[in-house]
Amino acid sequence: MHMRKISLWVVAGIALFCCTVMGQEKAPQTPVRSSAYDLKREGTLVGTVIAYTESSTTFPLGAHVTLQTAGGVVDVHLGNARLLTANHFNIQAGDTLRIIGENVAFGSATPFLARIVQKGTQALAVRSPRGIPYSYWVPKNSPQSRPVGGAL
Amino acid sequence: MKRLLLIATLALSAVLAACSGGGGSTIPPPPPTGGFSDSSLKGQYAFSVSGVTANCSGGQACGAYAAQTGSFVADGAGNIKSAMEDLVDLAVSPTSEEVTFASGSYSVQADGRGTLTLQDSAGNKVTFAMYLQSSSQGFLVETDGLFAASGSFNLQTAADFLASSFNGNYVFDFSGVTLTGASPNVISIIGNMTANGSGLITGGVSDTNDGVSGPSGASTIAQTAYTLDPANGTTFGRGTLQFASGYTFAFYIVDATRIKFIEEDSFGGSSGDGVLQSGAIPTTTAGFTGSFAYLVGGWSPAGPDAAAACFTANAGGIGTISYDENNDGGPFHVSQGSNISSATYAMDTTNAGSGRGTLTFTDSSHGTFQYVFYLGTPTSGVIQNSASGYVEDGTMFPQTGSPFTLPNLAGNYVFNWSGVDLSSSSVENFVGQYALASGASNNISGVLDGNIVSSTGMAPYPNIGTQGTLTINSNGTNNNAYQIVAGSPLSTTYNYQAYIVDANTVLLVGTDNTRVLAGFVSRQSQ
Repeated sequence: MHMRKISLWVVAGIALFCCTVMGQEKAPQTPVRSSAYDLKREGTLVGTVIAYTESSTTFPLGAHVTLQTAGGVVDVHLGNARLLTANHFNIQAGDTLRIIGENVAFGSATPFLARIVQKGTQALAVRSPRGIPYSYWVPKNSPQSRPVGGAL
Repeated sequence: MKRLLLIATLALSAVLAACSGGGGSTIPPPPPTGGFSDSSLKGQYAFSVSGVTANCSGGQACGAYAAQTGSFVADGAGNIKSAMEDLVDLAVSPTSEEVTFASGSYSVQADGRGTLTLQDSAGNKVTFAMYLQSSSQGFLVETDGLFAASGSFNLQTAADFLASSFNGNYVFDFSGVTLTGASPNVISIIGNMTANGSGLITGGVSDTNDGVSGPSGASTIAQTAYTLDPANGTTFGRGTLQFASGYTFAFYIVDATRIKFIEEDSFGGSSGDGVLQSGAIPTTTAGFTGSFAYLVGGWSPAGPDAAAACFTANAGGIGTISYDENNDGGPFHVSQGSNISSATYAMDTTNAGSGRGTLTFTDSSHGTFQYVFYLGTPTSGVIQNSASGYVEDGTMFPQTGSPFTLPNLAGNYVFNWSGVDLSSSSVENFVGQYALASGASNNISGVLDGNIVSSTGMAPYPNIGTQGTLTINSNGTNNNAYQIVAGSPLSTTYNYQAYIVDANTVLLVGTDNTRVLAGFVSRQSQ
């Protein structure tokens, strides 16, 4: 039932990435759905948890964390709370988190969507590289690589 | 008839939110009236359902993608004489299991509502609630608690259980879950493939969009082989097809014009129909004109997403647009006006004859919407959101017969809607029937069956009475308000925007803040 966790090499990658963008916050993006989530726009937030809720009514619905960063307070959408729970990823006020993600425009709203959340040495991917929230269930087999381009 | 949309495939990854209230009204199902009976279901039918695993006990991964495609023989007297299916349960394995059923039973009420049970030699049962649209087709929802899945069934033509029947250009739409990333994610594959009737797919073109790699653009399908199953081909119309990429499907021939597919490789799980192209498929942009409506469902970076729309097309330009989307409980409407710009479409001349085209428009508030479509007829086909991060697909229809009025819409209908309840992080699958009894009133009443699956298991909702209204907006060609109130114990009010395709078909996209749903409504023929 546990979600696959980010391997150590990914964690190392996160650390390297953070050296250049740590503490930066992304400016709101223009509402262009054709680039709804773009890895090239990603940034990293580092801060202290002010509040965490599994079931926020703030769009997008779901797990949100309010983070005190060097640049101010940022509300971050973490996706599915059940994914965090299944991976024993506990978030409490006072925790220090490092979050890779970006602001994505949905009409008048521009929430910060997390793709990878790191607490200490534990990192968890909560979205795909295209920004789709991950499910919490785990298939029994290992991931497969499909051909580049179309599937067929 | 269209199967379950892509929304439910990752449904239990839906986010948690505040609970929504529902009414507690007692609405008894109306007495069944109509022309259906057990004799209405007679012959051999291919079926396909997809959804999620619903048995959360014993460490099972409740909420994983699951699909079943198969064939059953009904004798017209309440008995299932034989049946088989291919079952994919990603909680267990991406490869399929072939299941044969030695017996079974069914019943059909006058309103087309019924039950269907398939039983294997060990006594294990698969059960469905079903609603007949006609003697040839209908909707199904699984009720046995193993899977929460819904879909459709179609009367098969046994004389077409030949490799030579798989012959011509087929437009297809496969949707499901890919295992090619770090975690399961949604995938949509639409396209066109050419079968030569002698065991070869000689080519084709497809578009893939998933949460891992994003939209592929037009991708050529290499020559590959298909074969009829030596053991079950002539009895159930079953065969197999392996693409050069390694993607492998089992298929069931409905007839020479329609084939049901289910993925059976290690890349993930998906299913869908292939439909023989017919008519003069436009090869130029100027050749694609008229009024159209479409419905798509799937996922966005915010969460589950569904949209319905209508538009007029002429010489590459979009004349009018009406669009409704529900993105993770945030419904919005886009109307034609100065807010719309860059509204264009184009047929793909590089792949002329494939039916492939693109559609795009920009709304000043919500950004650019991008689609790719493949035409199965000059005016209908399958459609996929081709924006990165928006993995959703569905069906596009010609919109005909307007103005739409209550008198020309009055009648009996069956429906199938599915999606995600955000308030409980659960999957909903419902099928049902209702009557818009009078052209003088917008009141509808009927019955539905279905289930809601959460992380703790499945809650069944059989034989729920419903009441509601369909409020026609102007000439009915754009968005129309549609509401269904389900009686206890479901006790929920569902609000939709309804896009009327014609006097027989309506597309639904939910507008509630607590759920993302999409569905199809089809007029009953008897």
